[in-house]
Amino acid sequence: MNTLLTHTKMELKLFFRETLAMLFTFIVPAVSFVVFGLMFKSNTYEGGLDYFQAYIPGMISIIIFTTAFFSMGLQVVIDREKGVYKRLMGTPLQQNAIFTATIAKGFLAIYVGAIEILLIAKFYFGADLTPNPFEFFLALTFCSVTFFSIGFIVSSLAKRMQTALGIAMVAMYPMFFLSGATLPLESLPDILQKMAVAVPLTYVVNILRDGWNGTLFTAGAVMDIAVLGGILVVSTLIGTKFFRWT
Amino acid sequence: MEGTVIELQDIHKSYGDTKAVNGISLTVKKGEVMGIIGANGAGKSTTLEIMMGLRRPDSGTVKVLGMDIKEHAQEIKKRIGIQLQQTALYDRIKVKEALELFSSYYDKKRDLQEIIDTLGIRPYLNKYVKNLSGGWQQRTSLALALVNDPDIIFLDEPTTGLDPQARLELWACINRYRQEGKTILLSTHYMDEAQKHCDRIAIIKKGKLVACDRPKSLISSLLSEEGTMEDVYLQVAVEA
Ligand SMILES: Nc1ncnc2c1ncn2[C@@H]1O[C@H](COP(=O)(O)OP(=O)(O)OP(=O)(O)O)[C@@H](O)[C@H]1O
Ligand SMILES: [Mg+2]
Repeated sequence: MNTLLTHTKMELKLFFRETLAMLFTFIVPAVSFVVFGLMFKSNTYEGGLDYFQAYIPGMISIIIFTTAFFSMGLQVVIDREKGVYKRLMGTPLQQNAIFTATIAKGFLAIYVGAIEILLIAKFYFGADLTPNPFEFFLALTFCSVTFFSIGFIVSSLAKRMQTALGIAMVAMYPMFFLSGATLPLESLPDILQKMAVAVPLTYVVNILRDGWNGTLFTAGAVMDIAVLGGILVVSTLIGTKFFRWT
Repeated sequence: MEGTVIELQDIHKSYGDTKAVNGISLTVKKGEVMGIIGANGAGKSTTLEIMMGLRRPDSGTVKVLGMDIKEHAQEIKKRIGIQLQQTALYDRIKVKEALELFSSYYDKKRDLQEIIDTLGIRPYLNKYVKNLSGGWQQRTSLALALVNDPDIIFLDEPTTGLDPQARLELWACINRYRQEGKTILLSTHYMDEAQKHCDRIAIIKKGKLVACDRPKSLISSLLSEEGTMEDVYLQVAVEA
């Protein structure tokens, strides 16, 4: 237990030393949220949502993506390529502990990033936060786990750091711009709107909005939950089959 | 200092068509310093990593400290210390953090302050391992191999890339632990240090153990006149 705790603490400490991770988790989403907020805070979006109802979930979706792909998927490939895991296999540390520490890091990054967005919304913009904090937390956790499993695929299939980085960079554009996380989907050309269906983050944005606005347990959310649930199952199967520590 | 602590029996390991280890049998006695030499790609690291429990042989049995490595890997890992050929540490970890982290993995711990002073790494404790010069990185990874006060220490090329003085100092450290009765297995490309410090030397050529004996015996049995390990190496380990 003490071993697991020490190892997890170190994993977190190392995370906070990654400049790029800090930038993509705690700076870019927060700054975008503020800038867009200053420009669009009085807009109304699809479903009658105001800026905060639509884009608090949107920015948090971005944090989920960058955490899963960069801080988890890519970082695992980097550590594995360096031989870190091989060295750890030479100690009594259990593989479960490494796995648990990585997951803990993912949750920490997302929850802290999310809280940062909420604080900005409340204290900088004076916006109302969700009346459904439990539903939102549930949605956030479910979406995070789903994306962890996608990050797991990245670290299973990419052998080299460059490959993992390439995958993450290529995925970044559709995830950022075709999911509804940053640009309103209804403002995009038809063809791009259709492509959004194939972008996993679209479902995260939808479910987080459902959680935020209290519609998580309604018929409208079933489809999105089912798609993410399917992704979770399939990615976990693929990851478990192909993942190697060394 | 009797008692066998490592026993390899007919170990094979292939990567595709490459036979990295091709039928090696070897025993190491408690308290021995055993050197493993051979050309690049001969199979030294593969053999060492099989003994460390990091690679699984295709066939053959490995016993470490009297236990079969397949059944008692966890028990064995608690009692050995390893240093890999590459430093293999997190990019952003500091020396002191690495020591504390690795120490936390074990129930049995050796006093970290003592290890730090023996290896002379105190001035570097707050530096990132990545930013240290090769020699200090090597020492850091040696220090990590000692945190659990292991019975057997495996070192894969611990002195490669070090300047002559650093090599001497590292050997002084290794010899200190040898005096405590620890068994030490190491690979090296430096014949002079193998000859000087090793009780026995195993010569690997293309995955096969071609000789294994005391340096003196190797030299006298293979050469008509008085020679050095370098002569032995050139005669035994290298392609004709
Ligand atoms: N993971 C691997 N995949 C494929 N081939 C490998 C792998 N590990 C080792 N080999 C091959 O096995 C052979 C033995 O490699 P090994 O690293 O054991 O040699 P070595 O004696 O340690 O060499 P060096 O002196 O260069 O460290 C080499 O031909 C190497 O290319
Ligand atoms: Mg080697």
